[in-house]
Amino acid sequence: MILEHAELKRILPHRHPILQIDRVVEFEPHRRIVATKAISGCEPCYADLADDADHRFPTSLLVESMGQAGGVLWLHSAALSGEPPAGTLILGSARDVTLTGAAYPGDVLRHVVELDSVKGENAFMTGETWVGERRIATVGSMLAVMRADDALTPAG
Amino acid sequence: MRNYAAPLSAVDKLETADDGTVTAIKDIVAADPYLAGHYPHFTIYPGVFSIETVYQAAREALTRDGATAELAGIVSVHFKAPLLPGDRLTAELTFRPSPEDPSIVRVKAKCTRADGETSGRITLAMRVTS
Amino acid sequence: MTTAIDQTKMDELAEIAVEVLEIEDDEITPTSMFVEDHDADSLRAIEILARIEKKYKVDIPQAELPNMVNLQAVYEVVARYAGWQA
Repeated sequence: MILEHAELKRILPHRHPILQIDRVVEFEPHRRIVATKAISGCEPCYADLADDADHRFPTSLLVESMGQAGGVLWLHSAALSGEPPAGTLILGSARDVTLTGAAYPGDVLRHVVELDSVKGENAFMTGETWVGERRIATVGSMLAVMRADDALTPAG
Repeated sequence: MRNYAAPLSAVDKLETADDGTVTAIKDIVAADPYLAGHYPHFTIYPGVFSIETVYQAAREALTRDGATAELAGIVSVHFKAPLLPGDRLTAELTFRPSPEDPSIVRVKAKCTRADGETSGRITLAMRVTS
Repeated sequence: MTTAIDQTKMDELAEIAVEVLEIEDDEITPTSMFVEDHDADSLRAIEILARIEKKYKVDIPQAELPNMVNLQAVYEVVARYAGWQA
């Protein structure tokens, strides 16, 4: 199953410029997703940089990108099963993120995320990010949580 | 001008205590880069940007004496109370060399909101070379 | 009624808890409380539950979470669902 960028907007609440996946190229409901994100020098994270600056793609955005791929895996699988979860998807926790390479403008990130289990409103996943033949990141575990919107208002 | 790519300026103020503890402050502002899309109906500071705050603070603290520091990995992140525009994130960082690898510094951060609630706990591994 | 303990399994559960709670091995005891003594919240509790399920290939309903307050209690719940005999 291929999901184009516009279709991702029917699945995720994220919008420009923080919608950090471009296309889903493989999708096995409730099991595995492969999603790509092209890194371009015209993104906000490359604004206001010295010419000789380090143009490595920020890890925080890489993690966000992978998390969104996992979000699509969970949310779209649930919708296909007729039970779309309600609320806002947030990153609850992650562990053992190992960086073995870097990505730069011109690279295409390829996230491979697998769903370990879903427990109520909590989805447990593992993932890897590749650029071509190079694996640049591994996520040992990631927990995405569906929070009801009224649980996200500021404390009294 | 920054000398490395970053989604936003995630540290407004940085202070170092005598014992080496670093405190970083970031005011959550809806007009910051990327936040317009997170989310259009309701702005919430992305968890990964708290990671960015800790990373930027750690990088600044570790490169003060001319060393270079890069992110080797994220040991763990654990998010609790959400951060919304108008709030203030305070991250308290402690640094400890890794017992297994002398070039790695473990940065442990406790993140709190203005009301004192913990917004997250983040532990990073930074590779430092003099 | 108390459950006789298989120490190997107890050690395995302790390892999971120590990793998720990010504490030292010697900080946890069979009766030290996850929430009161180790600063656990519901997210960490669910994480511990998910790891136990994955390791022992067992399904434990979320409704059991309030019962799983320390290692001893976790052992008893898992023993029930996994059918452990000490």
